[in-house]
Amino acid sequence: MAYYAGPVAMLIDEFAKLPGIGPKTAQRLTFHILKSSPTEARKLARAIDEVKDKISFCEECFNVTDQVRCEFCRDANRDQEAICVIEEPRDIVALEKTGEFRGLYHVLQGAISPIDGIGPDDIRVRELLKRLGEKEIKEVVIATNPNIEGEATAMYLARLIKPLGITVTRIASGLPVGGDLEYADEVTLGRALEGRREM
Amino acid sequence: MSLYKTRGIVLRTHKLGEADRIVTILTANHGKVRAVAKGVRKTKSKFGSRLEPFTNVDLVLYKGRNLDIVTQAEIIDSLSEIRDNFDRITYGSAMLDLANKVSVEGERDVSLYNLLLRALDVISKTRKNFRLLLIAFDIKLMAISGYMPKLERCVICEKKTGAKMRFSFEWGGVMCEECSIADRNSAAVSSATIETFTRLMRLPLSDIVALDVIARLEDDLYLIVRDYVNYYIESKLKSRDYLGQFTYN
Ligand SMILES: [Zn+2]
Ligand SMILES: [Zn+2]
Repeated sequence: MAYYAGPVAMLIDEFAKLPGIGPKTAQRLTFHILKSSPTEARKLARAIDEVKDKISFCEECFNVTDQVRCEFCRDANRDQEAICVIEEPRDIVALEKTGEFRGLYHVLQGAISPIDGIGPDDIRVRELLKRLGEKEIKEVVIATNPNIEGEATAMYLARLIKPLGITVTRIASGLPVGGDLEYADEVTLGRALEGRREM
Repeated sequence: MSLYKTRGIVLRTHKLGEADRIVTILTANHGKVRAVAKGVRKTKSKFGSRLEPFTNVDLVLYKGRNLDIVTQAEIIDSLSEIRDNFDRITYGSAMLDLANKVSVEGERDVSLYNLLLRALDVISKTRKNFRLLLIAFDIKLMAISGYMPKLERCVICEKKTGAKMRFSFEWGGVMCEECSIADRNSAAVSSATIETFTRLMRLPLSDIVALDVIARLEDDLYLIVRDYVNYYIESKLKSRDYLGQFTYN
């Protein structure tokens, strides 16, 4: 790779650390910023700053929020007896669009992945169990992605939660295997929620 | 010339950019292949489940400069029974992980492909002996890779070993007590463990499902084989470190 002045090399390095970004894209982004106006570049820097300063994880469900508890956990009108378990905060957006689920959420912030050595202790499973122990939850809807990691996570949670006398359901297999939940259209996802089956 | 066909088992996938994945496949004829599958994470993708781990697929690939590109994928066997059971996924993944570690890009290895396919087929049908199957898979994989352990006589002096013996990872076999000074890192092992070791080496994987091995022997053998594998791949497998965390009785 060519030699760049310190700050340029540093920015390339930082971009290259981001998921899905290789060295070539990192270079392209860096030169895009070099060419853009100072106002545009500072806007980006400020946005990054603010998201780290003001946004954190909801202490209850681990959704992103600018307060201690997120909007869903604060909303008393939501069904307090059902929790929908998802992998990432962005999955909440997809599920909310369907209008099919009115309960609470729990964001695992990942999924069990045996091949990567990512186990239940590496995601927010313990925190989920704690919530189930403290609240009167009747149903846990598992809406992890329809891929190997998502299925492994769903099966692990079912084995763990069913003995507590709570109904565990999995969103219907109508979702195409291998796809990400966030890309599912709301009609398909809504049908998958409606047709959820007991595990 | 830039398109080629091959059959292989999907070992793992990585997210790439917005909606693509890099798929790692163990093929029969081209060794390990890493290829880009475009748009697979979109729910309307034509590939969908065909490129999920454990699937045995026929592929048409476009030879790229760096990574190849998947242009067609047809399922031979989805081994979908693996996905229905947590232990099958866990132990099956541990097999995929080792196959991924030892396979080499562009280096044909039909026996490795066949071994993995057979092992996954057996695991997709069983409800027990998961760990024993993994141990047997590891042993057989070491054997086809040229590291078949010598278990009948001391690897150094060739004498029949007595009740007290050790297993040497470096020498690849058992050692009598006298010779064990040659390898300070050898591990104490019982003759009963070595007997089980020998049985697993000889029996076909499909027979191991029905085997009844004492838990303590299985524990001992698991550690010996794990360390033997680690010694040869010169690293540890993440999937193995976590096996303890995944299993509960
Ligand atoms: Zn919340
Ligand atoms: Zn000897």
